[in-house]
Amino acid sequence: MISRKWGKIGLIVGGLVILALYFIFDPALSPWAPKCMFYALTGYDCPGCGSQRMLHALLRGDLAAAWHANAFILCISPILVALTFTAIFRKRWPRLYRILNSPPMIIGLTIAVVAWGVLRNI
Amino acid sequence: MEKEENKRDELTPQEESMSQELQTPQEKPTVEDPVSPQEEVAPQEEPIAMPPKYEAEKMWAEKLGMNFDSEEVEASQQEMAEQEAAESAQQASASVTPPPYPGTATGYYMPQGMPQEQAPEPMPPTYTLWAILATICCCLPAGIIALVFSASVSTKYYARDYEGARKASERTEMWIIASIVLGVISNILYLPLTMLTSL
Repeated sequence: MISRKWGKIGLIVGGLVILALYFIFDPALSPWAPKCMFYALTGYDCPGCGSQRMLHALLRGDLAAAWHANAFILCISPILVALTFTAIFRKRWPRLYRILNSPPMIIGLTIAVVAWGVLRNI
Repeated sequence: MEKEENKRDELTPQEESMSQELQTPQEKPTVEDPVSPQEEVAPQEEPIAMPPKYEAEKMWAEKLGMNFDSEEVEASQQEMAEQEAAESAQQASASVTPPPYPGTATGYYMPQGMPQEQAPEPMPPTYTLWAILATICCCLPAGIIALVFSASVSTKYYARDYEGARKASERTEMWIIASIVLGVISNILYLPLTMLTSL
């Protein structure tokens, strides 16, 4: 198996590549961007619909378009960045990891995701 | 020379009187020992005469018409004593192994709610971020199930159900992978699936 060091480097490089791709290409126009099955099958937006367009707009600096694309993910994105941070630096700041991964936090996130998925279709 | 040696052996008159003093037993001042081991205040009671062992049990067995085997009882009692000794020895040996402290090679954190007790294992990873990304990006139902298991990891760990927390962490990982796989498959089969449903 790949050693842990190469695994971490691979993840970082993969993340940077994905960000670069979303900066260059507009997912609404490109045929290579993954599409949402939930939307295709039911016609309703899932909680993640528009997240790619949101990322593209955010990388280009267009906050208004990002808000229209997927407001929930835009608001949650600092929390997601903090989650990755604490997951990487778990040894150094264990208390932060404990706070961010506590049951209220995770349950709150789950309820928020489901609520957004329901409310955005009304 | 001889005269000098003789002189050295003989004691001087002063020394002789001192030695005589030491040899005679002098009367030492006697102090009444208040806690002298004399006879106790209360006369010692005679030990209560105990009836022969298992006499009561034999009497009851006779009355109830049952068989009472004293040897069997003693053997079972010895067995129980041996079991208890083995258990206590096991417990003593188990408590010798040091539990993980924060900052060891694993580097995981221990819950702050137990300052006296050491948790037997660090908290298993919750995969929160992966669960959220799998929910919004890949497959919604599988991702929500992964989020539910991820929340149960923390609750079970703080409820000291370490086995359950470990299993919940494994199940979270499984459902995250399932969500990613379902997402990839659904995107590959996007066109055929949409054509199927529109029929």
